[in-house]
Amino acid sequence: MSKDTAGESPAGAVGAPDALTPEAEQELFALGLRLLNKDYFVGEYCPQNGVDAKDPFAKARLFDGIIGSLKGTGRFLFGMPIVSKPGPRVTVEDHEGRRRELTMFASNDYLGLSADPRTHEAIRGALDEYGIGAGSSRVNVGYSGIHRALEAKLADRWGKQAALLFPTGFDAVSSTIAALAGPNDRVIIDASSHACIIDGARRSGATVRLFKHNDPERLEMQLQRAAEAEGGTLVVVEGAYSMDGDIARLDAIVPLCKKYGARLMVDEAHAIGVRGAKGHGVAEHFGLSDEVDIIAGTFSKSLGATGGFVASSREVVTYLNYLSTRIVFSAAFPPILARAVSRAIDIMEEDEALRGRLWDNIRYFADGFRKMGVDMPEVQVGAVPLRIHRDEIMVTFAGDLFDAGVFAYPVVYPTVPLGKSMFRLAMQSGHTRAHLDHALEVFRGLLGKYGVL
Amino acid sequence: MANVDVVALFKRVASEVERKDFSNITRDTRVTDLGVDSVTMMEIVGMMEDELGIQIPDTKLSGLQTVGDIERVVLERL
Repeated sequence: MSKDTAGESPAGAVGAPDALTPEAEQELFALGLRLLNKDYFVGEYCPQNGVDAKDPFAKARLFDGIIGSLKGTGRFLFGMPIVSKPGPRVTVEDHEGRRRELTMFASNDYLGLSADPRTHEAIRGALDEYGIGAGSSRVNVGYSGIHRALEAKLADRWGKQAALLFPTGFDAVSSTIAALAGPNDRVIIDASSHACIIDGARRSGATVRLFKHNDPERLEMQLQRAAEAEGGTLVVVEGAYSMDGDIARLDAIVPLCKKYGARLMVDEAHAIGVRGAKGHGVAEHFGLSDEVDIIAGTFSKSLGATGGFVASSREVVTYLNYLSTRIVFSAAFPPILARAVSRAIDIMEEDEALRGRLWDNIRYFADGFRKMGVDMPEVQVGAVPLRIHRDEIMVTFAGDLFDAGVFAYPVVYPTVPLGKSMFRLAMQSGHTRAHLDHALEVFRGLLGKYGVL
Repeated sequence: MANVDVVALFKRVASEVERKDFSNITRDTRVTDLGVDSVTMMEIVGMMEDELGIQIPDTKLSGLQTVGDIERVVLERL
């Protein structure tokens, strides 16, 4: 933090971070959390603090000063680069440039395929053949032979007529909703929906309705009303809710959508590699892939790369290819990644031991918390939800975890409602018992220290 | 439309959503005393919008303290 921004920070003594009392530090972090809500920061906090509304950058100066103060505490975990290969143990460089080795519980690379020699081998030749960048959008000349081969494989494996690649998983979901729904339609979404679903629903201009998380009865109330309204209805749910720790009740949701004539889209982002006989997700888990109209997914989690896709009917895929803004106006992801993803899908399907080890780890870790007396429901996804509820201790708790060699991000408002703070502990196939036992001991100590147990 | 009894509508929709008796609600009832979370409140308001054929921007919903505040926001859109 530079001297000239320090004076603009609202936390009083933050010019000298070392001098912060624990209470002042807690207050600073509480403020930081509130300011992550842009509506509050721009709409209320900036006017209260005399920010020049005529300069669009003035608010950024104030914000930068606060982030600088947070970094100065040494307990601000966001934005520290990983300087080693991804995996269960990583080396992280902190804000002072010190390197530390930690056990990773914040990566969505559940199966470790980002660092798997088999996926690396698959792309070596592709680099010489196709280069790095796609050079254009998918609808234009950014569409390579290996992109096409991956689309064919996705359609085949997910049991749909066709599939379409998007630059990211966020784009696949957001842009598909925005392209398919319009002002006369309704988009009905789960209350725990990821930002990409909310973004797409809002951009579509449709009437957006949400229903209580994973509650089919509440979904039906919305479907009844939607059926009486003009226009069509698109229901969007996630296969696995990694914050809530549960999976969509598709066995109830699918029949309801059929009953009321609504189309159903399932975002399998956190379910791919984790759920289903072959790792295809929650629709596969319930044997309902044929009944789901659109399956969306990302390659950035279990498949260890980046990019996203939707699989659906040929008509829908053709429509999206030309009318989804993210396909038309955004460059395709690098072709070499298409080859990596293609190999990763094979490994995910064939190497069942990978998913077996992941689930052994999930059960072992969740049981470890239960033995401490933590209230831990059945975990149905790849991340163990550790509910803390006390917003004010989260950042210092996470800082203590970091100091003890455990990397876990605090999940706080606005990602979860106020008072619902938690740690979302993402598991990996590659975690060993020693990694997990060490982390459990660290958590036991800190849950005691903060009076959570 | 100006004669709509918004409080009565609120009671009926809230009861339907939460399956609880809200007959004691008045204009002065504080939203925080209803025992419904913010998601449920959005479901209730959405259903009221459907019944009345109106749309209330999300920005109008923050900071509402009482059922009377909700009534005021709804009446503004009628």
